[in-house]
Amino acid sequence: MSRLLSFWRGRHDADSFEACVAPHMERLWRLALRLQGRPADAEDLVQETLARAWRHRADVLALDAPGPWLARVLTRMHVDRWRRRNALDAAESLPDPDRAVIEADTKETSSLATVSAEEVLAAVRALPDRWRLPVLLHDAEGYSLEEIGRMLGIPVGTLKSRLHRARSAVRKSFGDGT
Amino acid sequence: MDCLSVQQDLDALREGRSSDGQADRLRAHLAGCDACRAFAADVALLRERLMAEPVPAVPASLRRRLREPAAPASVSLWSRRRVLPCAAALALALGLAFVLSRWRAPSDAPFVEHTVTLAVESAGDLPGVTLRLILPPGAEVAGHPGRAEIEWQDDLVAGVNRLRIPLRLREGTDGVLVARIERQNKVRELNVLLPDRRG
Repeated sequence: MSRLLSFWRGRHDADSFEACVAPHMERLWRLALRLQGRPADAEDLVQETLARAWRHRADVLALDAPGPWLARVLTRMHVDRWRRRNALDAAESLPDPDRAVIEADTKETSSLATVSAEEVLAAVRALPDRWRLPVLLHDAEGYSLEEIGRMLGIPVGTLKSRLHRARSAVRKSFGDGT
Repeated sequence: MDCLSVQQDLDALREGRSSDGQADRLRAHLAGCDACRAFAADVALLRERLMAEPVPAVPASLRRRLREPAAPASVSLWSRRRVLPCAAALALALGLAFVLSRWRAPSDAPFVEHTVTLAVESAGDLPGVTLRLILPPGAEVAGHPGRAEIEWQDDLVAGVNRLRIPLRLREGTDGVLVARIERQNKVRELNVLLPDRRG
């Protein structure tokens, strides 16, 4: 009998988990694809996120809105992968672009109005990860700066500055920005 | 209000998070500043392009994994890493790497968690493969208490597919984990001795 109960408990957990996470799958998949680029890597990332969510299913099921929790896990796993690849070390050995003096963008005409969507997206993909992440999470996925700050463990002020630099860099890739 | 502050506070204005006074100052600046207006227009375009970016549908394998408790829960992760394709045509070459520490002792002992990793090399993409795990007494897949067998369908991709299986083993468990991979009447079977006594 206890085996039967255990089985049904496991089944109930699985059903509840699916009902809770399924509405967020498309968003998770889109974010993973944008972060990773290659579909196979994106799939791995989502699977790892689901596996972790399942391990913490009691917490996930208790959340009113599990979307940001899932996105945070996925994003942090992406960042961990990025760090494991030593990309961060390599980046840190270069002059820190966040420490450069930040200036207002002074170009007085639109840079993006005449370029194709694909060119704009390519310019975003070419950004360094530290600038690309805030743009993707904020401008593409619609998370607030406060939510992104919690996901990445970065102060909102720094995020605002990175977002500005990223947007400026995208504009400058289609003109001199002056 | 300087241009940099305005350009950094555009989101607060758009989202209605600015105070009344701040919003008025931002609007007044924007009305008289070509550079900030152009910047704001490009930010709007950037957001529009990003949000309209077409994204392929969620792969069926991910949806299946969510439906099947075996997926996220326990028989968790196929990690797709391409390696040199093997010359043999359809056959699956099975490799195995598993890391298990020793355990021993009585039947009602507490569970010990271990992960077994199966590496399955496929010469090509193989959709619709059936995977079945048959567990010895005292062993279960995490999240599936009391189940002696777990079966699910998945796709293999060309190259190495890694499957991590989080197990819960009672101390003293001694047996064989059978991993069976079936497709179109072809079966490959892999026996994994539990526990690993090589270490």
